[in-house]
Amino acid sequence: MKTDHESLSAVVDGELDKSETKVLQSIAVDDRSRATWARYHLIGDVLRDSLTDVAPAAFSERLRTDVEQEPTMLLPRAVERPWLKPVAGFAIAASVAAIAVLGIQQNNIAPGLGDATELVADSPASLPAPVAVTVTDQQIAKAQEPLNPVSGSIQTQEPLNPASGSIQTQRRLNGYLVKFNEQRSSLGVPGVNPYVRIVGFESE
Amino acid sequence: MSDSYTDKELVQRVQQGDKKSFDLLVLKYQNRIIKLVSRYVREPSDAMDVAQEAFLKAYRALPNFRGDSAFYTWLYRIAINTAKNHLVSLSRRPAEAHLENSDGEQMDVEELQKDIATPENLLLADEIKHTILDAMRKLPEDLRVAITLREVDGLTYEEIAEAMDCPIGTVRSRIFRAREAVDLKLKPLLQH
Repeated sequence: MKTDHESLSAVVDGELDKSETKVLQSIAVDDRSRATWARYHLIGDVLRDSLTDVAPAAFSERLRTDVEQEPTMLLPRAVERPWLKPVAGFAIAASVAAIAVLGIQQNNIAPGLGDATELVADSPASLPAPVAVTVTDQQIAKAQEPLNPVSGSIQTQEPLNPASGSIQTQRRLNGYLVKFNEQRSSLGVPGVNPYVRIVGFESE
Repeated sequence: MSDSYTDKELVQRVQQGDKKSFDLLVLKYQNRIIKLVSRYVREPSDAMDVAQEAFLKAYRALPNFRGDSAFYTWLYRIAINTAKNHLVSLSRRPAEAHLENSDGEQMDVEELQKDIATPENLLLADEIKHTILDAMRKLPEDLRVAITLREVDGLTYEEIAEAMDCPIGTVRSRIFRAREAVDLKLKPLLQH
């Protein structure tokens, strides 16, 4: 198989047209083309001053013999997917953005859950209008256990305003929140609002 | 397409069982690898031997080459490691010790060393350099500039076309004609 040397020169430079991809194969199997390939690269080596010793013909001949004795590789040809990297990058970026948006939304919801804590922690002067919170008897009884051995049925249709509520109710609510947070933390789950310090107070 | 495209294509062919494509990689890089190894291994005959070992190691490791780096970068690392291992092994064994695989191989190596270490071979290297550089000087300027931009500066055909203000096809043709003219002088030197 004779190779057009202008195409061979282009292959040496890696500048082959797509229509000429078979040229590489023809160089590999044709002795004259292979010799030309070697000389063209030798010219490049001299011009780049990359030549100290010239590899004698025996160098590549012996390697050819050695390689012939090696087992033949049969790996599947890698499928080129140049579009895959940018698409994968975009997908990862989109996932991170989605998680970030969801996280922000969760954080926006969390203060609502933590209203009671904030209300308890805030000073009475800064409080808005009283907010009514319904707490079932069972919840209160459970929350009270370690703090107050005396349990009973309590009506809690009272405002959360510490100034207007009874001290006992405030204590119970404080106890409930502290216990609830402790239980959640011991399970490795963040409490009501992990970023807010729960402060209890006792008025005299 | 680039120079590494050709290497990638050749590597893929080798990985699919085409051993002849590995020969093209050897012919392409043999002089560069010999020069690289010579920086570590002073004895020219040893340098040739280490360079051969590096190529063989590269062939054996090719199934693991995934193309994350350029083939030459990968080969370069193998060659340096082989040269360093050679130096370590030299420091561990008596000076006169040689390769001792089999009689056949011992003979091949000795023949190769004879080929390389002779003053004739060093003279040939000088003659080749002189001939190529002389042929380059005699080239018409447009051919000389085109091949220099490609081989020395590593520009692509597109970049050369822009620099020389001509079509890519003209660049391709000029580089080929330059090579052909130099090769005409070089070829007789390499025919034994």
